[in-house]
Amino acid sequence: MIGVPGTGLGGVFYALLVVWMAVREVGLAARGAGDPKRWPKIAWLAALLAAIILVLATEGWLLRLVLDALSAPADPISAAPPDTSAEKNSQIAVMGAIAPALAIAPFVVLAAIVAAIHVARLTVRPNPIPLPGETTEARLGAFAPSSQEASNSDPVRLTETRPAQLVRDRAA
Amino acid sequence: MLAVGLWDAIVASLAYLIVLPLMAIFIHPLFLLGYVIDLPAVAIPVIAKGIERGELGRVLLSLPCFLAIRLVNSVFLLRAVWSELVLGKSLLVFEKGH
Repeated sequence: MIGVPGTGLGGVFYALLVVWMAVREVGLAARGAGDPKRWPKIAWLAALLAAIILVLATEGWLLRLVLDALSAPADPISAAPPDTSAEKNSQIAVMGAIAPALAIAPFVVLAAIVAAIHVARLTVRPNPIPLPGETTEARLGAFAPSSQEASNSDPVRLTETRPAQLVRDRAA
Repeated sequence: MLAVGLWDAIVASLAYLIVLPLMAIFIHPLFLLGYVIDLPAVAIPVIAKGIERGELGRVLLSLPCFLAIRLVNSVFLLRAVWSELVLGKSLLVFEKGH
């Protein structure tokens, strides 16, 4: 279940997950492992997504109409618009240039964040000292030492808490 | 998902409290639409759920409140980030305020 869409990257993430759910289910069905009971839920989420996209597209269209109306000369019969209109036109042109970038930016940023997470997962090792009440295995997850490594390490280190480690470091 | 949520919260908070007002002042007041431009994306699933639960009226009343509470949340989020990352005052420990 993917929850309720947010805005910004959360909304993009939601949309991509809905698409992924459908693609994955098609793939499973092609291999004979699909579950027809999942389709109504996927269809409902896809319908929500389609409605959101439709409303946002309508909103964008209305905004474009407003921007076009604002950028039109105040008096189309007169030969040249006043200077203030030229300034407004340049401001609206800036907005028109920013809008497509704002539409693409969430996808670029989302891709960058996902890539950064994977790079961090491969390169950064978490702190092996558990928080109070936390087991070492739960903290380390995939980085947890094998049983052979654990038996070779200091048993105190696997159970002590962060404050205990701080006290020991300061004493040293 | 956590990273995406954190990024969204920080960037959106900065946008609501700093970027949008500055753009509205220095470029065009229409940038103030940024405060409500994503309302349809939020409203559609919430309205759908409200109809399902028979609480459409409450949903419609709550939507404008969401816009206001989002600004308040932005302030709290930025304060929390400042406290956690800049001041080094971790939020893992709860300190009773009174």
